[in-house]
Amino acid sequence: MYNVINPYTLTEYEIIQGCNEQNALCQRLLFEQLSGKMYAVCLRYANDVMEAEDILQEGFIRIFNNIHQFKFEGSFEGWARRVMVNCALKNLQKKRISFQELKDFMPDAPTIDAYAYSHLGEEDLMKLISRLPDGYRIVFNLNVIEGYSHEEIAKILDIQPSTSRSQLVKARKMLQHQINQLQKIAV
Amino acid sequence: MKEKQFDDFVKHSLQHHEVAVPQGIWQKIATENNKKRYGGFWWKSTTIWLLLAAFVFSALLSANYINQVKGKHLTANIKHKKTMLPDESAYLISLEPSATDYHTTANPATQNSTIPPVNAKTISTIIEPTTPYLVPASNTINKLQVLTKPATIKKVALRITPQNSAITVNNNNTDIHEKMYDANQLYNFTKLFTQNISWKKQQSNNLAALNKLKFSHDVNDCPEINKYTRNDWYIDGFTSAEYTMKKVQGNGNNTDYIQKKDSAERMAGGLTMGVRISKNIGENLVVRAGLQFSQIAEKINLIRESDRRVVTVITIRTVTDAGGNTITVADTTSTLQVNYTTLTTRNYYRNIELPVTLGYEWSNKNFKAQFNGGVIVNVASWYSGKILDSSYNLVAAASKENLTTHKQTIGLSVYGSIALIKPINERLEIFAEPYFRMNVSKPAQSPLGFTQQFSAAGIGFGARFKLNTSKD
Repeated sequence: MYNVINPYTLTEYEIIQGCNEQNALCQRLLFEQLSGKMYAVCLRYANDVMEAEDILQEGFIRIFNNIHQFKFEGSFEGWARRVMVNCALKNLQKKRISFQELKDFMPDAPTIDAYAYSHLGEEDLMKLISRLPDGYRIVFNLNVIEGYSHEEIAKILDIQPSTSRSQLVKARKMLQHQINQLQKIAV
Repeated sequence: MKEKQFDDFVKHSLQHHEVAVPQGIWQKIATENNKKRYGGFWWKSTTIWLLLAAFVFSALLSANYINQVKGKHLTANIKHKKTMLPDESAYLISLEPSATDYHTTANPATQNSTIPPVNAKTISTIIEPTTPYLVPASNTINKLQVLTKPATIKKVALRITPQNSAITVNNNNTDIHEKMYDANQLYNFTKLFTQNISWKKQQSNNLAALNKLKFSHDVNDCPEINKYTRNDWYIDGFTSAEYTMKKVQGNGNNTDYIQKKDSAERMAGGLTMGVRISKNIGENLVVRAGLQFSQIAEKINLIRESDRRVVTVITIRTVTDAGGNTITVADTTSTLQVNYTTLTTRNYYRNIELPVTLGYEWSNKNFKAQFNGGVIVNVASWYSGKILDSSYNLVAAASKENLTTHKQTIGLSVYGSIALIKPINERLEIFAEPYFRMNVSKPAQSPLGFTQQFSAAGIGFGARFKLNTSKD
């Protein structure tokens, strides 16, 4: 009686090497490991679920086609996330996103205590972010969650760093206002 | 809440957040990935660029050959005899060209020639359309030029007219001799003069003679002229036996596994069989392309410990002591017995391949030798047998779904050989071809952390059949 190799005992290195060889099983394993997080990334950048699915599909194809460029320096998840973000930005750039600042009828962001945030789940946060205007949403995601500087964001999006800063401020203000509204409703 | 605190809160909440992926996404990705992989294959593949380069090179060679054939001049030297008849210089040798390409020469000795130009139309009926023509290079009988055309030369018409003779096509004029000769014959003009011409002014063995005129012709036994042309197509069938070699390289973290694998595996030879088409190009080149099946066999002998047992032997003996008492003594001996089993299996790496080679051929009537070099493109491969897993168990080998050690996509090998060919008759030849091939494309990789590259040395035997006839 011979044993069959259990693919789930493979290391990340082995899975990546298998994907390098276009091994379908390794690609499937990689997808299962990363798809949840990558889909969350796509949902944060996309306007709707359909768009997020398209970005996810294109992103994974790019990962599989360019996986040979990953040299095992740093985290593979971080590399894959960057590929996915680039894919999302490319998809959004096709729509010629406007970075004009919306007319701001909101007062300055209220001071919100930590209690309001502690009851805020990830799903709620995701929904709030998805409701932001395109420009606000992209800059907020790139700066706050992905960690890009305003200079880097300016290069990526072909805008001025000052535009990136103001977009972030507006995004933050809008989010905080919406959280405040939610808290009032909850109470 | 301060801005930084807010940002940190959002970041920590969402950075590693996961959302369940909708059903069907993987199928879409897999389908699209396969499309992109095979759709982009052609331009991404080094193999295809090499094949294209080989094709362009062959086309350029053919074009160069054709350009060289066009407007080629063959010069036949005429040996002068020391003594010449006084009337010898009076003879003009001219050959009527095709009706569209007419050239005449006047009598060099007289400025005012009494010989009217020949009416091409009246004699065109006796001239083959592709006939080449002889034109006196200078107005002497010393030298003639033959202008050939790319078309096959079928007939050569020679008209020999004595000077000061009216040129007509009336064969009743016995001063004019006109005859058609097959182009694939060798001409000795002296002989022609003495044997075929019978007018009153000839009959001298001292007449200037033309050397043998050699026309380009596709006949194997024709003597060679400059830039001899070949236009043969062959179909070859062959089979070969190979000694195969494998190079295995680990990733540095699995030395024990590689050692175990090396000790268990042995190459067990290979074979190749196939068909190919050959085409001669120019004087000496030959290009070949075909389809072949190859198989590499591998034998695995895996010695494994099957069980261990301790065997205890108790020997009971009686001893009588000095007092006559009988004492029973038990001697206990224990031995450790280890049993091994040998698991033997054969693996086969099977490939469908496209060989493409370019060669240089040297030949005479009885023997040919070709020196070939090229590439073998692996278009499909599969692997049957068992492999050693990381636990040193033999497990069933590859399918596309399982992990595989054998590359199942396109691969490339380089190939070199010397073909020794013996013609049997005009169309059939047999050959023996020792060769060497080596896999040069990215080696087959395994999730178990090693790569494999194959090479082989062998000798092939086969037969080749010429598809075109001598007159083609």
